[in-house]
Amino acid sequence: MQLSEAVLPAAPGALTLFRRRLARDPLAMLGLTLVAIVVFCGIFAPWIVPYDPFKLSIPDKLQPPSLTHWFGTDNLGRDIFSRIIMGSRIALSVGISTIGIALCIGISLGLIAGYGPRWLDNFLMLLFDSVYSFPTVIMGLTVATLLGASVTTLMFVVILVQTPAYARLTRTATLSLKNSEYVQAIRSLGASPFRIIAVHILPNVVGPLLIIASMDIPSVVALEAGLTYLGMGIPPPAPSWGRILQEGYNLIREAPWMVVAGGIPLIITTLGFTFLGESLRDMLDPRLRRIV
Amino acid sequence: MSGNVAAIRDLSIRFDTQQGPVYPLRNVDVDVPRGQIVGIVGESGSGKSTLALALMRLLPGNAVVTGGEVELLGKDLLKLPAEEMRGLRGTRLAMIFQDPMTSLNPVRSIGQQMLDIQYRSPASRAEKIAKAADALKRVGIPDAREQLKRYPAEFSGGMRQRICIAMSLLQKPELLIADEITTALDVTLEAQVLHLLRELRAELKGSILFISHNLGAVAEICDRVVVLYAGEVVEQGPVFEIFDRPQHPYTRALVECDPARIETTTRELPVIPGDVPNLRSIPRSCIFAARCAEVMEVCRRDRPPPTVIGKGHSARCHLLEGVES
Amino acid sequence: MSLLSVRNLNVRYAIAGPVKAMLTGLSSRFIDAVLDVSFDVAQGTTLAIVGESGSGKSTLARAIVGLTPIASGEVRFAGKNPFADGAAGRAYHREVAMMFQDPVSSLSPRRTVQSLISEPFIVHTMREKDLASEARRLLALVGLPKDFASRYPHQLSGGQARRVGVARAIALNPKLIIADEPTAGLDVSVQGEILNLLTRLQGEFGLTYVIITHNLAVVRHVSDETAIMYMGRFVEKGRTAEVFPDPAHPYTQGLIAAQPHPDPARRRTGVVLTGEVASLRNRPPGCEFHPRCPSAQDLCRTIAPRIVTEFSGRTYLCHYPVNRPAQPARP
Repeated sequence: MQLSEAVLPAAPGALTLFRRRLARDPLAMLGLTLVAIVVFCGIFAPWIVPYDPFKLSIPDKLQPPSLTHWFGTDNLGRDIFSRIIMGSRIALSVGISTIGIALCIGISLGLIAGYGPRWLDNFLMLLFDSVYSFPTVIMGLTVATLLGASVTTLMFVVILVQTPAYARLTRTATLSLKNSEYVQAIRSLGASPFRIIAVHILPNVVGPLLIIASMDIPSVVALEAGLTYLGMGIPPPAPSWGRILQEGYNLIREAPWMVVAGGIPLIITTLGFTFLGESLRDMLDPRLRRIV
Repeated sequence: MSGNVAAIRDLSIRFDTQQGPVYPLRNVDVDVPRGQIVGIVGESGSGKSTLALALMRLLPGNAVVTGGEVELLGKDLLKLPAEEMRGLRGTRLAMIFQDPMTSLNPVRSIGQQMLDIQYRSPASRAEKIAKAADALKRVGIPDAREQLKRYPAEFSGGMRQRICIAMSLLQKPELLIADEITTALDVTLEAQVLHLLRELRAELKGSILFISHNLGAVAEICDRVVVLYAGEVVEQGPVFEIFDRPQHPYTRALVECDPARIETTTRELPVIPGDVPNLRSIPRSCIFAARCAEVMEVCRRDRPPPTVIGKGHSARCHLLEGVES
Repeated sequence: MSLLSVRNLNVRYAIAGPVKAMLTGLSSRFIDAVLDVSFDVAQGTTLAIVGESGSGKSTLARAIVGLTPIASGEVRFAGKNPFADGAAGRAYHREVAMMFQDPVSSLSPRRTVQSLISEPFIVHTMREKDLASEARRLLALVGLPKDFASRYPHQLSGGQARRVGVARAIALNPKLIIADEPTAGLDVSVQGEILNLLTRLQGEFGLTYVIITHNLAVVRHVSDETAIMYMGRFVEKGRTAEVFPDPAHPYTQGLIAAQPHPDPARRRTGVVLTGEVASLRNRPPGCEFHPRCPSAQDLCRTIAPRIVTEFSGRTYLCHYPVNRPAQPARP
């Protein structure tokens, strides 16, 4: 049903809308809160941990959750709650920063592939597809064997795996936008390819990618956990969530709380970024802003 | 039962949107006499597609019928159980859409789809195929049997629209709703499709509700014309009355501003000044008052009731009060 | 003097790569969308190019503004080749503006009206202009209130979006505007408004128009010259006032007859033009219109007609023109 739009008010700015949207959308608010908790823990970990997460205390080993040790202790007597808070640092650096880097590289390459000459597109696509066709875990194990297990290696693997995914999505969107009427209209004004890409294509591509990327952050944390579990992630004694899960898994009969404690932050991160990503996508699109 | 296939009385519909209620149709009266082609003319936002969807009972979930009655094929449409409604659609009631690509399933061949719509028929498969091929032949598609194996994407837009008409031939509906079916076609194809509809009219046996914004197409094939403006029927009557003696100022302006109607070449084309009213808040005045060239004091105060001007010809305009026949 | 002059223009699209063409045995891996088109448009006049979908009219428009590469032939603007070098190209983009078919989708969805209509100034680095006041000036010129500057395209009606398109086209004071279906998708009452606006701007700024359309009713009122396009060729061209009452090509005659009249007393009894446009991949031999032509004869099926130029300047491509003596094929 098409209506006369003559009385629609002008759209307010993005920032005002962001605030208004947050106030009205409980899911976005929840997402933001959860993400804020994780980020806060990551930044202030050394000052807020109740115990030294590295301090061994064999007499206290494998204690169940109590008021003194909220999440209990592990087989070396370390406080699990403190280790989880400390672990958010690794999760954040592996999660957010690698996804951020992969997103930047992926979008740039995708825009070049989508808008640039045909041969370059073919070449880049071949490159993306060959990297993409490797199973992530196999790739992770290979790189970790070659370079040695460390945080840097893990980040490298994640970037290598995620970049082609973002590049491919960007390329597809760019290709269809390149032939859209409004891009043709701007080309007919004589605008440079750089301006067309930066001002007219990028903003339309970035929205859906942001939400996908924000949903990828928890899966990267899970990947870190998985690789660590396989012994190819971050070497001990670093308190990563993956390591806590792995150790918990080995002791699941004696100390089931370790696995639960390792899983909680993963769930918080996943939900937080997913909720936030969804509302971010809606806010970035002026066509959806009306709903606010 | 009356001589009408469909009789709409005082129908009003409201859409509940996130920005508040919208009133796309208000107090609409339309009769579709048996065997006639009734044209619904209106510009975008006039509510003509909403009317079609209401007749098919395919309105979106946020639509509320706030008043009125619809008698369709002798049944009270608004109270009909969903099961019975499904039974009507595709047998006694059919619809052709503007874009035939979206109403044909792209992954099934034309033949399969033409068999699908005959699923109620007890005929054998071979008979059904023969009937489908025959229908294609009658809408002017050569090598009908071969074409049955092809997929919608292999046909041009004009051909697809013919296929949709062929499908409606198979169903022989008592009421066929054609929603802007020539809009996406070139003039030469439009002329062919209109010609085809007129030819098939006897064969279809039923009535056709022909919805269009194209006055030329409506003049070409309709018996009666209903003029919708911003959700209200402002005038309706026999096609010659509407085009030769339009009584409502809107109908007059609409007919006059069609460039095809203007014989002498002119650089300054007539227009209807102003915008279509917003359907969120309906004024108590005549709905056309804000744009009307002959507006009077009373028009801004009261909404005019339909005035009967001739046989089957009525209009909602204060200017006509007192000239009742 | 003619402002825009096009000579023997050809535009072709590759439908397959060289390898695929070799493997599948395609006779040609190109299709010709525009074939041997020549015309001139004088300053301050309007040329309408009419054709059905697939006639190549939009491709021709794109080729003229440089959005689609030209295979052969020549475009001259004010006597110069606009595609000769980069500087000439930039100047050309300032002096020629294009309006696209879909009023809403030719506007970037995430930008406000103000940023859309001031885009040309930014593209041509005219940053000294006060963009806000330029936007207000342009909105006033096309008859939109100034508070529209902060709207987004989805908040505009079809007619309003079309006006924004016009505002953007005239932003840099161009000499030539190429309008692709300026009235497509608009209601009849709004069509008139847009055409009147274009006519008013033509008078005010001495603009030259090339209007691409399938709507003959509109062409008759707004254009000085009309060209009819069929399968990439101009099959007829002449003064609008002469072509409509006296078409030479049977296709032109058929198109005019196919227009429905908003008058039930003038219903047609038969269909003049049957069939559809043939596939560009598989051009019919001889005259390409012969499969649909009511007056086709043996000659038409074998030998392609040559351009006939009448004394009045009318040109057409036909062996057996309407109400005219037959044009025997010359060797």
